[in-house]
Amino acid sequence: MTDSDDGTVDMTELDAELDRLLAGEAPSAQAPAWCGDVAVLVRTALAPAREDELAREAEIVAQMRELRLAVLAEAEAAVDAAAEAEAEATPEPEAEAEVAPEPEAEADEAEAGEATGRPGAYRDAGPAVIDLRAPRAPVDLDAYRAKHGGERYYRAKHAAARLENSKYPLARTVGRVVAMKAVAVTTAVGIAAAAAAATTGIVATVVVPALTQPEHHVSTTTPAPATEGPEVGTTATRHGHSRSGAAATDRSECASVLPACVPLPAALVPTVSKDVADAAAAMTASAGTTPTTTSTADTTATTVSEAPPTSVAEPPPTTETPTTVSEPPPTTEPPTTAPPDTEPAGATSFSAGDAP
Amino acid sequence: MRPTETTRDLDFPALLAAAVQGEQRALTEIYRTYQPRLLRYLTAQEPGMADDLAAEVWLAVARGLGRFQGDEAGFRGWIFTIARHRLIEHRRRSVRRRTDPMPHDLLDGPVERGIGGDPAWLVIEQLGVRETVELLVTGLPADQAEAVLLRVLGGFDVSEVARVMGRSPGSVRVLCHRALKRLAARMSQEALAE
Repeated sequence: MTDSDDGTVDMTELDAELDRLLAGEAPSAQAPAWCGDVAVLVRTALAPAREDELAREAEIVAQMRELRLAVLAEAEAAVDAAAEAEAEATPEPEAEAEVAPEPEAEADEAEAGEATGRPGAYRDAGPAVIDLRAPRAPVDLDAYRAKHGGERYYRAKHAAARLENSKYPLARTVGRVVAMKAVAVTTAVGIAAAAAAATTGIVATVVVPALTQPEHHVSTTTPAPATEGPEVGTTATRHGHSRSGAAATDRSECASVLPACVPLPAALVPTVSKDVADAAAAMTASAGTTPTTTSTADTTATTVSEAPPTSVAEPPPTTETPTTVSEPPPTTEPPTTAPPDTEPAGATSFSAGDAP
Repeated sequence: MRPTETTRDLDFPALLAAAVQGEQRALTEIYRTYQPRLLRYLTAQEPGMADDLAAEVWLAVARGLGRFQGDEAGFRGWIFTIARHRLIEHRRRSVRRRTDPMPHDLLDGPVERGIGGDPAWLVIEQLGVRETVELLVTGLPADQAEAVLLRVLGGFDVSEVARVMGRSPGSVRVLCHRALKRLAARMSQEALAE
């Protein structure tokens, strides 16, 4: 035997000795003296319970029992909720529910109850799973529709009946209240959204242009191409946008946005005689500007110098010569302006023939 | 396994099943069986918090009783594992090591009365259980003290202690050897000093 073998034997013996020692058993005769002391300590440490160690027994056991019962109740509630949810998810058709259980199944349940020590113990076999979306034979579908009025009606009917027969009336009431409130909130949100959209559209298309473009309703007469013939001198309603050189002959362009301007009565339309008009044109031309006549509601003819040159006049209600706008004649005559009181009654006529 | 626990092993499944159902008799039986050693184990580790920690352990046991599966030894190991985790959590929360001083009279008393001469008389007549456990692990490093306590108070063998402590069986065996060697040296010195 080598030294290492001796060491191994010693360690093995020591392990056994220590196991006995820590188990509280008496040491062997070959054990050192201190092993006896340790064994006594261990045995004392393993002494039976004292009263002070169990002083809180009643309190802690009561808490344990209460906790245990709470856990069991919670587990039962969870099982019930799961079963109820599963039953709601998969309704049983009446036809299959009415089928009586087979005798073999009843025997299995009885055996299960005996095995668990509880005769007739409940065995949760789970609700019958019926997939209503599964493909069925046309004959079956016809039978369902004939009997229940369709799958959806059938499902809704059974779901409602199950809800009414729920064993939690408070939860059912709360569910109804929540559902009604959800419907009310949804309706209110929809109405509010529609009102907001309508208000935004009105503001964007009517109010904002009216505020930002005060000249919106000014009726302008723009020069039209001479070749247009009957359309020469057509009065158009402009949106204040300057389109110099282009004829705005399409009334519907503005009528789509704003109502068409109402023509003034013939008595209120200011008229300027040809001589006066020629003189004004000559004066304006000598001054380097184009005369612009604006007809306003007060029937006072005013001359406004603007660039680009445009003449604004209300269309005459009569069948006289249509109002046209022509380029100012490059004359050198001194401009003269006729006093308003001398103006003859008639339509404002800056005829194309007056232009050179 | 302790001889006193052999009989308990026979009806342990029924006892456990009754405790799972919340029967007070079963819960009381379990509490009376394991509380003393559990409290001694906790007292040796955290003297000031042993009672509260034991209460936490029992509530955790009651909470998880339905999920336990195993025999009596496994149940005992489960209880001490919970206790060890509660200890670790407590130490982590308090961020402190054990600072409760050992009373001088407890340390001086055994020496004065001659611990090496007649330990049986000394321990049985003069020391209580708690003081004996304190004396058993006094001066030992924390891991050695824990291994000894689990082997003695828990009644576990090396493999079970290794499972509870999360160590290898060889490591636990080395810890126990060193602990007993240190304990022997201390007792020899005390005997020589006398």
